Amino acid sequence: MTSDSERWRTIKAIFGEVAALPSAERPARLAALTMGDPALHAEVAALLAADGAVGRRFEQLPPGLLANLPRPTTRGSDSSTD
Amino acid sequence: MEPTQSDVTRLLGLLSQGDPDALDRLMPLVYDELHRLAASYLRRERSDHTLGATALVHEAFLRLVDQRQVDWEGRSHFFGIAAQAMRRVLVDHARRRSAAKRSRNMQVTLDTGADVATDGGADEVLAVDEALERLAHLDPRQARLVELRYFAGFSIAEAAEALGISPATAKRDWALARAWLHRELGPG
Repeated sequence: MTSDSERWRTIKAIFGEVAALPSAERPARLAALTMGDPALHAEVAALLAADGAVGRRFEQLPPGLLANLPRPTTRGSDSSTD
Repeated sequence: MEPTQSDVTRLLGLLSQGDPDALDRLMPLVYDELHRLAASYLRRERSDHTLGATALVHEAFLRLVDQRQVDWEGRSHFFGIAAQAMRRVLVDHARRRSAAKRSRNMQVTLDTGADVATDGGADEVLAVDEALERLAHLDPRQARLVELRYFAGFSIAEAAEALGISPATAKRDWALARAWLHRELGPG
């Protein structure tokens, strides 16, 4: 296991713990879990922010990626389903 | 030559027994079948229908695997391989499409001086593919989860089953992977 993947495991554990908290409690918990490692704090904080911003992106393939191929000028219908 | 159900079923059995060659032999069979199914979908359904990757993967399973002869492990292996193959099919498509778009853009720019919006769909697929290479170094299982969710359209529950992990773990891993992708790719 590389040091990168070890660090990723740490990030994963902290992200999971902090993301499960109500948002008001997150900053203090994140600070406590990353004390003495500002880079780790910044990394997890950025991922938590991305988690809040990602919306439904990546939940499905871009609509019409394959379906549009034969007729590139029309858009595929966005029939999003869960 | 078209693979028969017994080829794929037998190879899945060998894979479960730990035969390292089985995976290399399965991948092209599954890729070809998915590619063929995708092409026939395109011919049948024309351009006004979003292609369902999940439907293709399940159809490939029904066509290639003798259900009476595979256990849950064989199923899991198949879906993992199919997600990987689906990723390749889609990335190959996206590459061709992106190249076609570039040459059209160049033509339009020359003709009118206007730029044509880039093809977000193809670009996103290619960017996710590249990012997943990096994620696979950090956490191979998490990268496979994204493959199942994004490229094969599996639900959290289906992906968890295919990976042999709990739905709760899959959900946590997916939340982080998605946030990470969002940051890696920048605003969509």
